[in-house]
Amino acid sequence: MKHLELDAGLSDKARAIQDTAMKFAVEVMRPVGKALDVLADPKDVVSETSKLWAVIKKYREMGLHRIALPGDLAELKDEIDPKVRPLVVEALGLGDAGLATGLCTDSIPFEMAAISSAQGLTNLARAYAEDRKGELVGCWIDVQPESPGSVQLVGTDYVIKDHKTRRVTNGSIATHALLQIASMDNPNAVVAVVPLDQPGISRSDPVSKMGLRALNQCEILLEEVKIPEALLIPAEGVGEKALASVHGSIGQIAVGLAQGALDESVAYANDRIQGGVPIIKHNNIKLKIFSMFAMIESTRAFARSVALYNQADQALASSTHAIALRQIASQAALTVTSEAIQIFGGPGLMKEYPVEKMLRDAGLLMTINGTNNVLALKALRNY
Amino acid sequence: MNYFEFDTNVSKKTRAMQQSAREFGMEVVRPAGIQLDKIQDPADAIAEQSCLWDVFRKYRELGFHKLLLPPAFGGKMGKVSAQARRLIFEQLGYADAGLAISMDLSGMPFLLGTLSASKEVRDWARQYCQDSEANMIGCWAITEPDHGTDWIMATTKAGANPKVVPSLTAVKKGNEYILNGRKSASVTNGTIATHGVVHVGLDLSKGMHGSGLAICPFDLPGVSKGKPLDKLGKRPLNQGAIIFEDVKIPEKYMLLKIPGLFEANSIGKGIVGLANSQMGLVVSSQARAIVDETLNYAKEHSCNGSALSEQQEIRLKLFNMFKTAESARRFAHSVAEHSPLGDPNPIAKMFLAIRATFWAAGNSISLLQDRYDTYKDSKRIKAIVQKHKPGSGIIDWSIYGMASKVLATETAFNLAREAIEIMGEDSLSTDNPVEKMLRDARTSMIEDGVNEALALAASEKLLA
Repeated sequence: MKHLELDAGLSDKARAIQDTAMKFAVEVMRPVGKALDVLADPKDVVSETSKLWAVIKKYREMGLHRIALPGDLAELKDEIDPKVRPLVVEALGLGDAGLATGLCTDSIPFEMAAISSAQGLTNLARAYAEDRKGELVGCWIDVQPESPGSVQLVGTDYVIKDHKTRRVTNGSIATHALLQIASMDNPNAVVAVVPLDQPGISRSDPVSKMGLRALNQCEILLEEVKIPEALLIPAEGVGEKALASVHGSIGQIAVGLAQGALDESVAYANDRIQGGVPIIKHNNIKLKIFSMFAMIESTRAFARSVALYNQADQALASSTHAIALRQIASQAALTVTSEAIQIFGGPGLMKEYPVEKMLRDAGLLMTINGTNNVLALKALRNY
Repeated sequence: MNYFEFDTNVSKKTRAMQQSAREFGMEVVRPAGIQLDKIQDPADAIAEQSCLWDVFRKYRELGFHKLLLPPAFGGKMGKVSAQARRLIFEQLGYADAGLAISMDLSGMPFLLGTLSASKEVRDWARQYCQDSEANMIGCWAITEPDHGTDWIMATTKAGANPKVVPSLTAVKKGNEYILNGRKSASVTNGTIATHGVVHVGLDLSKGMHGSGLAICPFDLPGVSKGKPLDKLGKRPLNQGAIIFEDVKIPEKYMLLKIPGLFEANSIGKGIVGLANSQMGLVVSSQARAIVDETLNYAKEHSCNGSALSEQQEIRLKLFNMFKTAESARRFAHSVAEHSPLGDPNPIAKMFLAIRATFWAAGNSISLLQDRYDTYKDSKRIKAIVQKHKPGSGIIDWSIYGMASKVLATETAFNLAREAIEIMGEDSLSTDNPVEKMLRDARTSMIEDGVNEALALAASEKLLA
C-alpha cells in the first residue's frame, strides 16, 4: 500500500525535504534505534562510543535541526515553508520514535532563544543553527513548584531553591535547558534558557524504561540555581509556544510511528501464509488494516493542522490543541502497534521482528513529558 | 483492598492450599518473575543457577504439579477439589502470569500419558508425580514456523483443506514412526522440556485434520532444540523451537494415531478449550494484580498537591478498572468451575485410584485405533472417530474456555493501558511492576491462539 500524500499543495521543495528525511529515518535512524533499544544499561546509550552520536551528527550535517528555527536564523527562509516541519518529524517518528523524540527536544531551548531579541540568546540560537557536530544539545525542564517558596524572585533574578524533575528528555547529554517555570498562581510565569554547566545543577544516572530506549532520560536536580534576567525570554506567549512544541512533536512522532507499524503489517500480511493464502486475503486482517489506516490518516490531518497553526507567527500558539493532538495520536499509536502485533501473531512478540518494539515505544509516547490526565486538565485551564 | 470472596463453601483444607499458593506466589514466584524478566539473554534465564529452578522445585514440593494426575499414579486428582485447583492457579497467575503458564503446561504430556497403552509412557506419569527436583518437564508442541493460527483452525472444518498440512510429519515404518520437521520457537517450555505432547502430520491428504498425537521424550537421537526465544512479555516463561530429524519413536508413543482425530469439534477443540480456560484464570488474576498496583499507586502518589486517590477522574477510572477486572475474573472462574476436569464422582474417584483403569483405558484406545486401521471403511468405526456429537459436554464447554481466555487477555491489556494513563511518567519505568504486566498482558493476547483465531474457531460451534 503506497502512502498517498493528501496535501496536494505541497511544494516540490517540501517533498524533496520529506524524501531526504525519510531516507535518513529508514537508513540511519531505524538500525541505530534497534541497536540502542537492546542495550541493557541506559548509560551505554549515551556513552562515547554509542551510535547515538552518529545520528545526531548526521542530522545536523543535513541541517534538519534548523527547521525548528525561524527562517532568517536558519538561513533557510526562502527555501522552506511551515508545512515542512511536521513532514520531517513524522518521518523521524517512522525511523525511530525514541531518537525522534531526542532530536525534537534537542532544538527546543534554541527555538525559544531565537524568539528573544536579547543579543546573548540570539547568538546562542545562531550557534546552534551552525553547529554541525552536536556540541550544543537541548532539553526541556518543566519546573512545577510544590511549595510556595521553592521559586523566588530576588531582585531581577529568579532563584530555584530546590526542584527535582524526574524524567528529563536528553537530560544526560544536554548542554542547555529550556526551563519552563510555573509559579503557584501563574502556570507559565517565566521561561529561561539555562546552560547546564552552572553550579547547583546535578543529574542522576540515565533511567531505564520499557520503550523509547534509544532516548536518553535522567533526573535533574536544581538546587539554589540562580537565573539572571539575561537568560529569561521576555516574549509574551513563549511558554505557550514551548508547550505546543513539546507536545505537538510527540503527536507528530506518534503518527510516524503508527505509519511504520502499518507499513510493517501490510508487508507481513502479504507475505505470511495461513489457511493456505496470504493473510491479507482474510477479511479479519483487511478490516484491521483499514481501521489502522483510517486512524492514522485522521490523526495525521489533525497533527498537520495543529503544527501549521503553531508554526506560523501567531500571537499565541495553542498548547491546548497540541496536548489534544498528543493524547489522541499517542493513543492511536498504541492501538495501531497493538493491532500490528495481533496481525503478526506469534512473531509479533519476538525481538527479531520490528513490531514489539513499536508497541513499547508507543506506550512511552503516551507517558513522557507529562501524564495525559494532568495535561488534559492543564489544557482546559483557559476555558 | 479486601476483595469479596465469591466462592462459597471453601473447606479448611482448600483454604490452607490457597494460602500456601499465595505465599509461594508472593514470596517465590513474583520476585523470580521480576528477576527473570530483566535477564537480557533468555539463555541465562534457564541456566543451572537460575531462580527459575527454585520456582519449579518449590511448585513440585508443594505438590501443585500433580493436582490433575490420578491417585493411581501418585497424583491428587479427586483428593484435591477442582475448586482448590482454581484458587491455586489464580494465586500463581496473580504472582506471575508467565511462570504460572509454564508450570501448568509442564505436566501436560504426563497427564495425557496416563491414557497410553504403553507401560513405559504411563510410568513417566508416575515418575513425574514423584519428581520433586523438576527433572521432568513437559511441553505442548503444537505450533510450527509456518502454522500458528492454522493449528487453531485445525479444530474447525477449515482444517480439512489439503493444501494446509502440518510441517512436522510422522511416517510409519514397521513398529516405528519416523518424525521429520520442526515446531515453532513459540513452544512453551520448548527449550527446557524433557517430554512433550507432539502434534504430527500422519495423512497429509486430510490437511491439518490428518494429524495425530505423540507423547515423546526429547532425549531421542535426532531431536534438537532452538535458542530460547527473546520476546516482549512473559519473559520468565521459556519458549523455543524443537527440531526433529529422522527421529524414530516406537509406535506405542503414538497416543492418537488415527489421522482425523484432531479435527472439527473433537479432541482438538477440547484440548484448546481446556488450555484456554486455564489461561483465562491466570490472566484474569493478573488483571486484578494490575488493579491492585494502580490502587496502591493512587494512594501513595500525589499530583498538584493532593493524593491521586482524592481526585475525581482517578476515582472514576479506578472503579471502572475494578468493575472490569472482577467481571472477567468471575467469568473465568465460572467457566473453570464447569470444566470437564471437574470433581470426579465417587465411583470415578474409586477407579482413578486403580492402575488397572488406565491400563484398560489405554489398551481400549489403542485397540480402537488398531481396529480402525483394519476396518477403516467400516461405517460404524468411521462414525465413532469422525462424527462429533452435538451436545457432548467437553465440546460445548470448550467455546467457554476460549471466551474466558479472550475476555481475560483483552481485559488485562486494557487495564494496563488504563494504569499507564493514571501513573503517567512513572508507569513504564522498568522498576514499575505495571510495566512488566503490560508486556505480559499484551503477550497473552497471542499465546494459546491469537484471540481472533480462537474467536473464529469458537464461532463455528456457536453457529452449529
